Amino acid sequence: MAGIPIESWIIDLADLQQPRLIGGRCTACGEYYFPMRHHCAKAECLAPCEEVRLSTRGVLYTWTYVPNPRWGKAQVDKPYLVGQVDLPEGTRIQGILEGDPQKIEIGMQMRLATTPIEQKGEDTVVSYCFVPDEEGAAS
Amino acid sequence: MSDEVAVLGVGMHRFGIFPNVRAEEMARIAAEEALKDANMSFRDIDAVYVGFIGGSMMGAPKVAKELGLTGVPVQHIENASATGSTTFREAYLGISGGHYKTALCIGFDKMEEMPPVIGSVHSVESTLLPAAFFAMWAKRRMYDYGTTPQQLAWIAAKNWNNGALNPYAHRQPDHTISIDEVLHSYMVAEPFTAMMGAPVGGGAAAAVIGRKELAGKYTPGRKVVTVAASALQSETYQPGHVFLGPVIGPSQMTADTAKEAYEQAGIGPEDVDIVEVHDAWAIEELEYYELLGFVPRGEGERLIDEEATTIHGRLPFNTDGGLIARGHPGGPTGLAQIHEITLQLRGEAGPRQVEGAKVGLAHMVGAGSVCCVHLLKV
Repeated sequence: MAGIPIESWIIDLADLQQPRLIGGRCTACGEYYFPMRHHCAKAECLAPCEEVRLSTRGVLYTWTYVPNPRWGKAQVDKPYLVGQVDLPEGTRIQGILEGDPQKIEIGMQMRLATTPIEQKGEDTVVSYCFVPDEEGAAS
Repeated sequence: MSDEVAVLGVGMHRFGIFPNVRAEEMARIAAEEALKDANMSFRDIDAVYVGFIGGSMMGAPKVAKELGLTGVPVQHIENASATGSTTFREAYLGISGGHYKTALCIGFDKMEEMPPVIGSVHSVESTLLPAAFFAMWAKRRMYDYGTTPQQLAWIAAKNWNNGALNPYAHRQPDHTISIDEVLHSYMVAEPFTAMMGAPVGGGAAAAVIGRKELAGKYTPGRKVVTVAASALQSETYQPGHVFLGPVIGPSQMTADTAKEAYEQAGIGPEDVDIVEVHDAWAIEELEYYELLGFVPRGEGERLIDEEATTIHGRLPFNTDGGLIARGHPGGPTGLAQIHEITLQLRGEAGPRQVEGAKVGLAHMVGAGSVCCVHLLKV
C-alpha cells in the first residue's frame, strides 16, 4: 500500500512493494537498534551508530488482544492486537498486529506491512504493523 | 549515615473518585495530616518537595502556599509512576546530605482527569494502554513458565481483600473477593480482566522526614521509622530492549535497583518483613517476587500456591491493597507506600497489621524507564 509515513524517520516507503523500518547499527560492536539512534546504548560501548534498513520478517515474541480499550470508564479506541516481533538481527519491535486474534501465537513468523491511519487530502497516512507471514511459514 | 534520616509523620487523603474535592485540596489535607502525625507546624519544615504528573505549571508552590508563606524552598518532582517515590528520595537526599533538618513530601493527582496515555492506537510513539504492554509481559510468562490466569487472579483478589481493611483505599469491597469473581470481570487485554488492574482515580499522600533525633523531640515514646536505603536507577541495555512506544521496561532494572538498596542497608531479602510493589497489573507482583530476590527466577508461582504473600503469610505483599485496590493516582502512589510501611513498622496498621514487622521495602517503576526502591526499618 502506498502512502505517506506517519513518522518519516521511522518508516521508509520508497519501495512501493516493501515498507522498511529505519534502524541503527553500532559502528563498533555491531548491535542493531530500532528506531535509529546516534549512540550505541550499551554502557561499555556508546559508539556512533549508522542508519540501516531492518529486516522485514521476524518471530512473534509476545502479543495481546485488547477487546476493551478503556481509560477508567471511557472507551478510548477500537479493539486492537499488539505484539513484539524479534528480527533476525536481534532487534525487538513493538507494534500493532493485524490478523485474527484466534490465530495469533507466540513463535509464529510475522512480516512487516503498513496500516492506514488517516486520509490527508488525496494521501493516505500509514504506520507500520506486522501480519502473520503465511509465505514465510510455508517455506 | 543513612540511619540518621527518619520518617517523622505520614498522612493521606483517601484515593478514589472525588468530583467535589480539588486535587490541591486533597494535597493540603494529606500534608496537614502528615504534619499533625509528626506533631509539627509548617514553620518547622525546611524544604518542600511536591510530586504530581497532571497538575499545572507552578502547581508545587501553589500547594505549599496553602500551608503558609514561610519562604521555604519548594520543588516540583515528576518521574511518571515513580513520582511520589522520587519526591521522597529527593527529600531524603536533602536531609542526609546535611542541607536540611526536615522536609515535607506531598504527592497528589487525579488520574481520571488526565488524558489517556494513549489517545489513539494509530500513532507510532503513543499507542498502547498500560493494560496492553503489561498483558504482553503476562502472555510471555504464561508461555515460558505455565503461569495460569487463576494465579494472576489470586494476586488481584488478595489485594482487593487487603483494600477492604484500609480506610484510605480506593477499592474497599463489601464482600470477600474470590478468584472466580476476578476471572469473570470483563476482559481488558488478554489474559487480564478488569479486576486484575489498578483503578483510575485520584488522591494524595504526604510524609514529613527529617533528622532522626527530631523524632525524640516531637513524638517522644513512639517507635522511630528510619530510612535504611534509597535507590533510584534508570534502564541498562538488555537484549530485546524496546525503545519506541510505552514499555514495561527491562526486568533487570528492578533487580539491579533492589540490589543497590540491599547493599546500602547491609541486609538481604531474607530480612524484609513487608513489601509494597507497583502492581498496576497482577503480573507485576508475581514478577517482583523474583526480581526483588525473594524466590529464584521462575518460582514466583510457589509463593501464590503457598499463599505466602497474604497479610498473615510469611511475606506479606501490598498489605494496603497495592495499586490494584488502594489505587494509583500517579503522583501520590509512592508516598502511600511509605505511609503504609510506616504504620506497619510502628504497629499502627489496625486490622491489617503484620505482627512484629521490622523492615519494609517499597518499590515503584515509572514508565518502564526508572525504578525506585526504599527500605524502611524500626
